[in-house]
Amino acid sequence: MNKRYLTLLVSFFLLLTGASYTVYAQQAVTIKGRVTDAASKDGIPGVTIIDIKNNKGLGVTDPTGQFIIKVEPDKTIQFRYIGYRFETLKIGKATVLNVTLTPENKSLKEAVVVGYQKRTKETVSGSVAVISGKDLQDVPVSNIQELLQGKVAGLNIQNNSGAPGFRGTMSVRGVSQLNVSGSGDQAYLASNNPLLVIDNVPVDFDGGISQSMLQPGAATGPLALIPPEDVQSIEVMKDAQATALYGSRGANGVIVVTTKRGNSPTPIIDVNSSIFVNFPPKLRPTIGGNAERRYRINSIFMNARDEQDVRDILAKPETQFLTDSLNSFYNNSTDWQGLFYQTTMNTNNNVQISGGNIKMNYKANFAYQMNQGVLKNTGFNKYSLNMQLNMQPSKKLRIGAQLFSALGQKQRGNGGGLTDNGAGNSFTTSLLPGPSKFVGNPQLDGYENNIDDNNTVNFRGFVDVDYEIINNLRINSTTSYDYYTDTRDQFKMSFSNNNATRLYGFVGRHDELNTRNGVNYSYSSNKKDLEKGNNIYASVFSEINIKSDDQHVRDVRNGPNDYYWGPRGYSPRFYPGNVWNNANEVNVNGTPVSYVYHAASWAGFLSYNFRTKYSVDLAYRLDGSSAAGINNPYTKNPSVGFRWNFNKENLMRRLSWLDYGSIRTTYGVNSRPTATILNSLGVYKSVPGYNNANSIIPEFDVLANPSMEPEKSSQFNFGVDLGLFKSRLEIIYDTYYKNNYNLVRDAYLPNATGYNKMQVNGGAIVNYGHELSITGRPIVHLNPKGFQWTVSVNGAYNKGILTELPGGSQFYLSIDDRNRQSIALKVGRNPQSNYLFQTDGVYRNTSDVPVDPIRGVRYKANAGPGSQFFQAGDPIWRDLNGDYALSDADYVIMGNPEPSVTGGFNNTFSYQNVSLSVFCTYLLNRSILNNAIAARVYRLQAPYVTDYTGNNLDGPINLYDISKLDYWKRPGDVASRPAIVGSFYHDALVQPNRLNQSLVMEDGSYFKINQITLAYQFRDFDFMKRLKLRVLRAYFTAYNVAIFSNYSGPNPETVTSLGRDDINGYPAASSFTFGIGAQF
Amino acid sequence: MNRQVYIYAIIGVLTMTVTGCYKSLLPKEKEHFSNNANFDGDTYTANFGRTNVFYGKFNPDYSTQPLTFELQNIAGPDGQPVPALREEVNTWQWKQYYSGTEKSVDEINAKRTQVKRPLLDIRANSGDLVFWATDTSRIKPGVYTFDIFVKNNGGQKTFQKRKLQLRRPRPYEPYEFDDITGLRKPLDKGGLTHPTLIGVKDQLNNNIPAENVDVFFVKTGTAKNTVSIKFFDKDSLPIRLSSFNITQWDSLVYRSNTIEQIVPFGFNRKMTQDSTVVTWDVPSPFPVLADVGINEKASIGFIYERVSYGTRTQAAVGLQFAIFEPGSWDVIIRFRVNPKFTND
Repeated sequence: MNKRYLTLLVSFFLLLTGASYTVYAQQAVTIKGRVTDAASKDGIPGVTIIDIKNNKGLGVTDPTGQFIIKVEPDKTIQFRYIGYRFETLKIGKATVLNVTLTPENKSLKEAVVVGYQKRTKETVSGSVAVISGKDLQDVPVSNIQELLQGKVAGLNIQNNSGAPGFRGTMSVRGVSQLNVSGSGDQAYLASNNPLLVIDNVPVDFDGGISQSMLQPGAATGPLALIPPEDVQSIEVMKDAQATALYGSRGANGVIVVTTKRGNSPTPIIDVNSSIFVNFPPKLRPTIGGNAERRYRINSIFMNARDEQDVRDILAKPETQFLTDSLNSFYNNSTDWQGLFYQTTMNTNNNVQISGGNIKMNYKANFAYQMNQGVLKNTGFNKYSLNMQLNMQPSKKLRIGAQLFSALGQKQRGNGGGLTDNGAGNSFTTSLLPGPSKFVGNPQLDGYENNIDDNNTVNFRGFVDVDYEIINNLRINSTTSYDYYTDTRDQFKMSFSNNNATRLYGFVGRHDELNTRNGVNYSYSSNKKDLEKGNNIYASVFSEINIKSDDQHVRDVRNGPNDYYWGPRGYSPRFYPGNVWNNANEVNVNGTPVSYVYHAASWAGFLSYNFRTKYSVDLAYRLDGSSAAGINNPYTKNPSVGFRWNFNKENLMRRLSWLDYGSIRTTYGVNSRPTATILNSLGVYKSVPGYNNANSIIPEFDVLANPSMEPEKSSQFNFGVDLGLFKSRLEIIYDTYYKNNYNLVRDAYLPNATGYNKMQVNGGAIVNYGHELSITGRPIVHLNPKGFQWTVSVNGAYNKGILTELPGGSQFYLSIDDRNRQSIALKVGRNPQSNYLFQTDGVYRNTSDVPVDPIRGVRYKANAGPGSQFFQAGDPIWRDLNGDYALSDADYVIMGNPEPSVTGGFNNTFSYQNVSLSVFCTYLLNRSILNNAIAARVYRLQAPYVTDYTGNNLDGPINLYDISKLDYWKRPGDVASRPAIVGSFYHDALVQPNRLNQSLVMEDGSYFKINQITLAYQFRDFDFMKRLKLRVLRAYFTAYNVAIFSNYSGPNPETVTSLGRDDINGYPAASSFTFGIGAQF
Repeated sequence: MNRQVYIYAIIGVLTMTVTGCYKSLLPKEKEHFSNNANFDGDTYTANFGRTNVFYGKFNPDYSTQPLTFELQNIAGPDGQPVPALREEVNTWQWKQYYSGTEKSVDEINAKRTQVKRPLLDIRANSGDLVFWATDTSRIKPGVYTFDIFVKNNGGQKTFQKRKLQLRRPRPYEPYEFDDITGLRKPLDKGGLTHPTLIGVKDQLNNNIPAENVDVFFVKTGTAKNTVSIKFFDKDSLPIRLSSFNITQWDSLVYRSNTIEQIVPFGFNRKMTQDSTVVTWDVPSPFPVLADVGINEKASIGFIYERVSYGTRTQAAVGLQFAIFEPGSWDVIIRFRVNPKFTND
């Protein structure tokens, strides 16, 4: 399969390189001149003069603005200087050129694509942040999403898994969902994914992960498949106005990715190649060998009930060897943890061929990345080819076409990928010998030999035709088709899977056809200068979207041997429920997902501005979908926005320090359909034997709710853009108030109805906050080769408040049976809170434990009978109701898994040919449940457990270095943690190190250095001319450099979206990259 | 020009105000008072002469803590208010916990202190109800009613017509008399108390059934809190305690069910010269947690050994009991069939 695909890619590639241009050289002439500022008539030093055709520098102006260049007379040259409009000239016969440059506000003239419409930023009222593709280079990551972290205020990205090919969580302006999936350490919040639009094609963010977040299907999302080198820009739309035209899928924000276009008369070949090394993070400190044996035996002696108990414990088969210290077989110090990790060497390669002019341009981008994970047998390889062709045969007709194809290959080792990786467990004691020819460990063996290959093949093409029927009126049609095939082939050897092989096959195909047809009209009363006329832009379009998804699973267990991987088709021997193969009914054969979805939308948009000074945007979109509730088939998305570019007021024009300034205000409503066929129409099933006949009856779990309404979010946004001191300081400020209402919740019904529950609209969350981005250029040297320093800081403060629950309820508790770390939803608080016992320290002495004055006994850990009395070394849990018993009434709502402030901090320095960039991110104020340390303490409490028995005893077998913990040791100790073991008997009753206490909750604020890149630009070397190299650049990047935090766990970022640190999560790897970029 | 400056200033101020009042648009976090908060049952049965505690009856159903509880409308069987139930009485409360390792009654008593509390008492935040030990001189037995008013800042609820059934004192357990009527219970329902017998044989080497041995509790004085145990045979002649020849008199212990520990059976053991009566100093109540603990009773076993046709056999007479009324109590164990202590 792979080979065939590669051949296909290469042949495409060759096809495109076939075209080439020939360039004839002419006699060069010397040209002199001066470049001056249009207003002040002063000479501008350091203006770069560029040969446009070859995109090659010809020279720079001297301190008085004078220049002398040598150039062929037919060339077109361009004068570029920061903060000024580019001036393009054809040389002709002149030998003296005097050029005037007019200052411009470049950041406002940028074209942005909002609502599928390309517009200049200065007329856009919505909140749109633009990330240049340049900021996403120099580090080969497996998913481009990682690189967006900290780049946009209000876009919160947490790379909570280091697994290659997976991605972390992303949310725009806080959480807008209340549902939680999974439990325990693997509890995740329902996704808050924004809509992803790639080159004007809306695509599924996760590439169709319909299986749960925990065990993502084979699918690799589109953001992982796009090579960063191919990205021209990424726009993040945050408010309702910007997202309104994207319809119901844009309620969580929209991310628009635009890939590069060809734009050079001579073909350009860009080659970017790098090698990078992934390093496993620092492993968790453990004790091994004799220290482990001594700890285990000492602890058993100290904490067993009596001597007989010690004898009984040490007589068990799994502990007996502890006493056999002279037996060399049991006298090892194996670093099991280290055996799971590896350092890998990888490569990233990208070739881009582009060329053409405005009439016709083309681009082909071929990328290959090999990215082996730091956990054995995990990794991600990807191949992609993106081809684009744009034509403008006449002024009236524009045609664009693109074909993107990619193959992503993921290996998931022995784990789930995101979670459940197992390496944290380190399944056996260090006293046992390491793996060798005769001795193995099932779990490690699983990592080394099991197969879990996940392939995603993605094709996405679009054709975009635009024709001007009459002046100013254009019709436009865009049709795209996006197709994925995901497969997962997993085979577990019997040794690693409880002596029964497991073959798991997954095939998923999903596709999306999207066609958008519309008319747009633009009018300006003064064509020459928009700043002097009335300008109108209007458009209407319709969009049809057809999606289908089919997934099939084949799960075969207990095959004949490790070499027979089958049967893959249907076999009566392996049907679900066959006791010989599926005694426990664990097989998941079948078709978990199969649907076709239709949506039709209509949208209208009107934008008017007066002299580009005052703009009004009005947009409306209507979405209908086949899954909507029958009483509410359409969702409506109206929005309105105003913008005032106040620097264009006469008063402000006089202020020389003000480059630009504008105020934006928008309001709009986005809807997100949540009705599915299941909850709006109900489920019916056929049952045999009702009245002695086959009948169709309703499924009594969920009652149909035909009046289901879409979830809505109304958002108010107010923003200010300021450019000051000749672009030395740019400030973007936004504040928003976003009300997500009609959120769907389960309403449990009285059992008299016969049904269990009904899904109703009823939850509401408000997110409000402030976002600030400041870009400063503290040191701008007039000579571009001089020392330059650009610093940009952005930060977003977001506060989420739960404002409503269905039925006027104030409180909802989603109980976690696994860890007892339940999640409380309480109106007036942050949407999710932890529900834990408050730990106020540790009892120094038993006499410090409060005594029930009526009963004469100590405060105890259980309200019922029993002697769960607290003693010295136990945590002081707050007794809220004063009944001297710890009970459900004593739980406290606390913490917030959502950070209150997130942001980034970037610095770029350049001097001569060297540049240095440092990208950092930070996060403030987030509660993390450090279950990883709790799991390790859990095992310290059970020194007699030396083998991994599955889920009933969580935690790694290898022992945490106990000296790192500040725990209570003897009466009178002041410690931050309770005693590791009070006694085995006492701990079983009281569980002092339990998870549902505030002791495990920590602040997860961090400051992270994401990336440091040192680059050297080769200029004017002879060998470059000989090799016809236009640009040559070498760079060195350190990625995931360091994270600074008070958090006691390894990494406050690799936690779930609900802030639970899972010991089996995939750690974030650091990498070092050396790369070369060349342009021919 | 000036006008424009004002306009900008006004716009600026307006913006600040609008963004500043986000919070005021939002609901404040309110305390939650669950509609399902409830008491387990509405009847409290209490006996005079002992502390009656009712724990864990209230289910707050996740209502925000702390809740406050208040007793209201306390009325007697006739519906009239009964202020006496709210009068303060002397109660024994614990300063330190009962460890079970105390060496004397005084040491136990030193851990307790006398506090004045209302007779019918409720714990302010947990809703645990207490009817303190009192005698029938102030209040008569009967069914009293009261309301419990529960409140936090999020809501409140009055649980009406809770019933307090006050019954006659039961000075010791097992008590042979009905605490409502005061009459002796039917014989098959505990009208007579019997000890536990293990392997106790009569003269013909037949097992003596427990029904043939009766236990009587007799109060003999009020000077001191003591427990004396005496055995009598069918002719009401005392049985010497030395007959229980392998009883370890110096280390008689029982397991306290409340603190789940082995505790000594009384202090300061004295035995009469003729070995017919054994007396211990005990706290009151005995066991000291008898009324507030969980199924807390003292137990004692009298063990003897004999050789029966060449087989050494052990036999025991055991008794579980509690004494609530202070004073000197005699526990009399009377055999209706004479047991055999001698070897065959």
